[in-house]
Amino acid sequence: MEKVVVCEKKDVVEDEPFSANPEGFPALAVYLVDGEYFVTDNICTHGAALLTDGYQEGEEIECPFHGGAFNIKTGEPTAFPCQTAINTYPVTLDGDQIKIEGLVK
Amino acid sequence: MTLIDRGGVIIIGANVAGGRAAEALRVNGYDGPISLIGDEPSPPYERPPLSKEMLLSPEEIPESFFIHQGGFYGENLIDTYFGQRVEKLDLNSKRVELGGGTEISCEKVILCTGTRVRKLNVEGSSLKGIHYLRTLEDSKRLSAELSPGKRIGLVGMGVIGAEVAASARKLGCEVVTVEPQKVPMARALGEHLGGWLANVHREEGVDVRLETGITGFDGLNGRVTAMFLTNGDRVPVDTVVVGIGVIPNDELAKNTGLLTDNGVIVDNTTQTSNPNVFAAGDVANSPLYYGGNGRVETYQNAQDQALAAARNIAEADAPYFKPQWFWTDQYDINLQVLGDVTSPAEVIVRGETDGRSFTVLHVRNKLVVGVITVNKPKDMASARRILEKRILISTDLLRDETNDLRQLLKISRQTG
Repeated sequence: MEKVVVCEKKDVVEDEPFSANPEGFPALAVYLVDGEYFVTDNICTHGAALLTDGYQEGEEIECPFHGGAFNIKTGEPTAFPCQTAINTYPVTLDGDQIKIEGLVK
Repeated sequence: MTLIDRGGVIIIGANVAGGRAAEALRVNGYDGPISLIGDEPSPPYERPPLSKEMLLSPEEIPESFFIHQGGFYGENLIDTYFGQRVEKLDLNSKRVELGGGTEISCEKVILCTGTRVRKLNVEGSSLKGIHYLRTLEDSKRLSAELSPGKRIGLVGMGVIGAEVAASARKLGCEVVTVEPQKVPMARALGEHLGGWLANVHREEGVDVRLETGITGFDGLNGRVTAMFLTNGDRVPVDTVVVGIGVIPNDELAKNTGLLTDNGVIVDNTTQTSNPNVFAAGDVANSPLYYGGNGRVETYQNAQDQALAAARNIAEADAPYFKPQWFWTDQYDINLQVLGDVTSPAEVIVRGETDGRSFTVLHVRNKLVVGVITVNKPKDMASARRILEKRILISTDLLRDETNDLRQLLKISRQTG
């Protein structure tokens, strides 16, 4: 399957998630955790907040609005009021680029 | 008389507090019977959208409006009694009596009975077209009247009044607000930031009347047509929304002999004066983070106090002691308030308070004790950790806006 470029490695700093909007995808958040890159949806499943405006601590991202949180690696909710997991996307590194698999049309 | 002999835990109040308490009992390993009783017909839902999203697009109720999805209660063996009122709580026989004479037995009770709106009692206050906002049904009735060009009168400019003003403007209504205090949301924001909020509403086209009360309403054919104000003005309106505060639903507790005083008295483990009864949310009068006792009418408190009550039943001694934290969304503004922002303190402003993006820190005895952020949710996330962990950072560093709060937090943790 075609892989899609999400952003460059240099865009993403540890604990400072990066907002990316590649064509054909919902808004995405890119994270660096212990030298590893992860991609999730950026819109919180509880409210309409952007997780990239939130507070990342290790592998947890806290929503900026209501204090709910998700595990960045699994997408699972880790704090109320978030209850529905966010989508995660398997990441491939290609040189300086961070890529994910294209959506099946 | 029918007796449902269940035992276990009965939660009275099917709202954010009650729903979270039921869920948290299971999460914490409690495997006994749970009964969740509430007088509204719906399962527990989120109240914050009632003055915002639900007014703007009432036909699109998102799944996340309800705090649990579809089969949650059945899957978790939680008996639900929605649309049913508890008439009596008998702690000697350990029974709860519903309307119609049904009784349910229990071992422990969590009271999440919440509050009800305070009603105006002036001439004409029972006319049609005068609304209150507390429930989903209230919100639906109100949204049907908020069409473009309608003149909306808001009595009281607390959080509800201010949010309804913003929603009504967005829907193209003309809005007049009447507030006896000097500023909107005075109790929550204090005078300075309250004044800032009044300006925001004026910029958005709201006719904000402060230090002004209401003396009565004019009506025609049983429907409201105007508000009479304390300064003698007569303001023509099509619809009125009254938001002048709430009254705790503590009668059930009082009638069964529990200690009450402006709500149900609880200690910092959410236990009432009876060791088998706990209370959480708006109705609980509990020890406050910065001293004294009081009721905390916020979503965060409803949720977290309920989680504590459930933990205390499932396990033991889980203290609940958190600073107040609430948020409100008005126009393009996300406003968050944490801790104590109204007592005397050194005030540090980061950004310009004549705009719509800034952070205010209240510092006392070198500790950050209160935080207000306007469109600065990232600052709130860092400041919340600084406040809750009581991290000492010099006011010079906090004042210097080139220092990111998150960086200050990181550095202090490493050196501290």
